[in-house]
Amino acid sequence: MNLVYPQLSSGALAHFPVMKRRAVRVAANELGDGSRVLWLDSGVDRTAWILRYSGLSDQDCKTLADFFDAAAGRLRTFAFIDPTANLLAWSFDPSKSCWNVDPMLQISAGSQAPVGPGSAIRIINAGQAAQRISQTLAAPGWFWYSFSLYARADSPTTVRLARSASGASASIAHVAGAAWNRLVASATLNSAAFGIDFAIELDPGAAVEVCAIQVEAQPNSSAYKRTGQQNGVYAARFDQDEIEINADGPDQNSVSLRIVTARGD
Amino acid sequence: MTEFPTLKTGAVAQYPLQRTSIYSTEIVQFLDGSEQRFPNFGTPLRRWLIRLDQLDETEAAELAQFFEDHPPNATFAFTDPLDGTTYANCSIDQNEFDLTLDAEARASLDIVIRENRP
Repeated sequence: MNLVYPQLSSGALAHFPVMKRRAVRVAANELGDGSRVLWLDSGVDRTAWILRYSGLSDQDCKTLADFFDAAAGRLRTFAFIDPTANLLAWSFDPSKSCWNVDPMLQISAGSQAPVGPGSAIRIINAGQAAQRISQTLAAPGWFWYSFSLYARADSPTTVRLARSASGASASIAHVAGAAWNRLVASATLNSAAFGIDFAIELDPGAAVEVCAIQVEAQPNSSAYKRTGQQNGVYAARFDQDEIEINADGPDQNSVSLRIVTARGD
Repeated sequence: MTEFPTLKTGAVAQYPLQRTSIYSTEIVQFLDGSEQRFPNFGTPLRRWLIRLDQLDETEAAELAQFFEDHPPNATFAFTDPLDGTTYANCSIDQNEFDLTLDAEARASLDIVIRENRP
């Protein structure tokens, strides 16, 4: 997949309001006594977005229009990063296979999480070298991402939030203290690669509790969104063959785009 | 049995909340105008339309994830916020889940829940 739905110059993917629709198909047989027999047609589910942009600069408007041309309306599939989503899958469960956990990390349930349901994740680095827990996303390496989590530790402990793509990497060190604090690493990587890795790195002997792990394709973090097996990266296409750009004033444009997940690519 | 999630306030629903009671009656009308009526089922089925507004992203994501985990063919327990009765066998009664983000921490969505016949 060569095409990637672009971020605006602000680093945002969308403007408010954003509408997201999740649709499934269920075959239903309703009986006389009011009971029903239901079958989920799991191959037909889809997700759609309506993105309404207003106050767009000429440059941002051109970016979207050029991308629409590159996709040729509904014709071509592109990678779409959900602007409403936490991009990580299983954000609360590092035992899932989407997480890569270095061998010397000991992971267990921690205290009650300060946001979201359930408990935090206690991580201890029992090794002699820095260890990390990471998740790789099939997402553009050059996007602006905000990587955030809540952390605490019994004694001040360094927690590094790292990201890496082919040929580029960066990390930001924070110190977790006794109280829960949100640690944020917001940056871009100088990488043209498709595929990016987000990691939490701990020094030898470090012990922390973390929760509400979140990656968003925007400069600032929003409230935590717990996720399941679906991450925030989709194969999608436009759901329209026409793009209507309204020039509302000098350097003030508006456009509305419909995007839907693509099947069979 | 999974419970329908609550908001941060502990509430399940916001005003306006719509609850529907559904009966099914067969009516046979005779030539003389008289009728014979009988119920297809004895107790009514309940349906709730829950309209939620001014949610923050965490609350909205919890409900979106609940729809993922409990598509319309899955069941869960739902406590009627109007009278506190818990209905153990309920399902989401819609095939589409629309989430609108109007601004930061201002999400809105509608969910229809239906009681299933055991």
